[in-house]
Amino acid sequence: MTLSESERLETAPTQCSGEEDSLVCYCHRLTTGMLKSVHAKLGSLKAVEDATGAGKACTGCKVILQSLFGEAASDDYHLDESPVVGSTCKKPGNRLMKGFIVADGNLESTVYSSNGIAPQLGNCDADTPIEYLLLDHRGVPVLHRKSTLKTNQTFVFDTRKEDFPRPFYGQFMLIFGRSNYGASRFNIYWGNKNSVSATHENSNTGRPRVVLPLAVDRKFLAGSSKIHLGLMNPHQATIKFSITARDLDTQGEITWETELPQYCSMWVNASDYLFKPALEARPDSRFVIEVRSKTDMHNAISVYFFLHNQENDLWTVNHL
Amino acid sequence: MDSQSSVGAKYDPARMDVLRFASYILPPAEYQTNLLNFPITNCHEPYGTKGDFFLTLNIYQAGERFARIDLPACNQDGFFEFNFDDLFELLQPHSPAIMIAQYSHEKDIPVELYLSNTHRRTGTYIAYPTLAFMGDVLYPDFHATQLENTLFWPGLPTNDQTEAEMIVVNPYKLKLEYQLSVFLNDQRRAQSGIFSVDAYSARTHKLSQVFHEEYPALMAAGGEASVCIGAQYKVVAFMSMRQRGSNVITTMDHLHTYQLV
Repeated sequence: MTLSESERLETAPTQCSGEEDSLVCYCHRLTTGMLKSVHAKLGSLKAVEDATGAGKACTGCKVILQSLFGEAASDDYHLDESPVVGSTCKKPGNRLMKGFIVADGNLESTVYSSNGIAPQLGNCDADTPIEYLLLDHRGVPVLHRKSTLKTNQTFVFDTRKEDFPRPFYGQFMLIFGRSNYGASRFNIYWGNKNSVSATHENSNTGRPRVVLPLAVDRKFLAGSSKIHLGLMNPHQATIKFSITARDLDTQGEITWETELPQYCSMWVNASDYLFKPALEARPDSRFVIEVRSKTDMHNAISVYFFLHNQENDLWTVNHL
Repeated sequence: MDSQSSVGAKYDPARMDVLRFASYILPPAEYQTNLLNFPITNCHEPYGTKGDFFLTLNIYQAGERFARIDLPACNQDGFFEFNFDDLFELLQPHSPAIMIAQYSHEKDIPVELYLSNTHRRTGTYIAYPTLAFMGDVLYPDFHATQLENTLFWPGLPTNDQTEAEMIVVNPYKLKLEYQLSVFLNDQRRAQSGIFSVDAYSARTHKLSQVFHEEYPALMAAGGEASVCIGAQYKVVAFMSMRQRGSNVITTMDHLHTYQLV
């Protein structure tokens, strides 16, 4: 059943007509269709493994073999203790995700989430109820919708198609009614006419203290890139926090104490209001920005950092 | 190669754990890369508030290690800093490199690591994380039970403005093989052939080329598609968005693991 050496080499992209072409066993190059064919003849997973070698080399496909043939793996594997694949891809869940949204007419946001099933898992039926909510910077709901996301579909929410006042800063909440197997995360793309930049939702960060990994000096501040922070409180209680411009060389600090009520968001021009005064006070220093939540790790502020290259009108974003 | 707050930390194996991270280093002719890391970001309850930290960087290009950098140790009050321009003379300037970092940390205090990059011509800044892997010893059980060998990326706005690229980093001493899939919203799924990336190397795939037959549909979909990679082992992969007009990368981020609950 093993493919020839020439077939092991890179092949041209192919259109997959169905699940049968999905590669299950990378070690022996066995597809779903090949394994199903052997299983039809031999009748058991163990016999398939013995005949083909699937599941016996790196064992990375064990979980997939079990899913395909609906029976326990044949060796001393730990699936019985922690079953992760059953006969269906549906499992109850209530995965809640939250991310920062900007819509100001120039920079607009698009949320994508995937209900894609790992190809090796075969024909899972994973249609999933979803619910989403958009809150403005005061934490006030602007829209609330429910829908169903079909198996392997990509969810899209685009602020360009929504009618609410600009500039808008807030947070997007997405609830997946299923939390296993599928790709239940969401990415946010912030884009303008010249660029698009993406990262993922970032609600329960577990990080009460974060530092932007960029040392800003006078030269950087005089350059074309401006730094903004997108801050959001994804939790149900007010969070007190500090934003600190920290001198890398002397460890001196210039700190701004503030707070965000529940579900509120904030857009901060860090170049003008944090780095500029810090560098005016200590012109030869290099500063980093630290955001420190006055709470435990489960209730921290979410921090996104946006850099706008003004000369080329390019935005780049990531989270901390 | 400066690092701050070398405080005479002593490596005590009984107190330390080691995490291995892998990442992609953009071609040095185009990008200036920095590592700036503050262990204090994880020095809080319930982990612990004090500790010693040690960081070693191994840099590879075309599968060959050409530099090992042992940064001065620091504690919770210090930070690690490394400017990759210090290696510029050693690097092939127009080729990417990969970094494998060995981060020894106080047992109870987790660590993470980002690389910062500035596009030399335009000054555009991007940061992205390094990703943990398991070292040269592979644990297939874990890869399988957690589906760590399969990652996904929701949304694929590849169009006249933006070129989406998948970057696969192989931090292992073995060749790594993998396959890319794209999910379209008309329920079709397209798959690539089997690609491989050599040990200690990286490969970049323009998705418009990998899925050239589906590219018109992807363009028309306006991003309503998602990408998946399945590999032999826990895979380190990034999605990059390159702006065609300026040839500047404005996104570099990790793909997501599947959620197994």
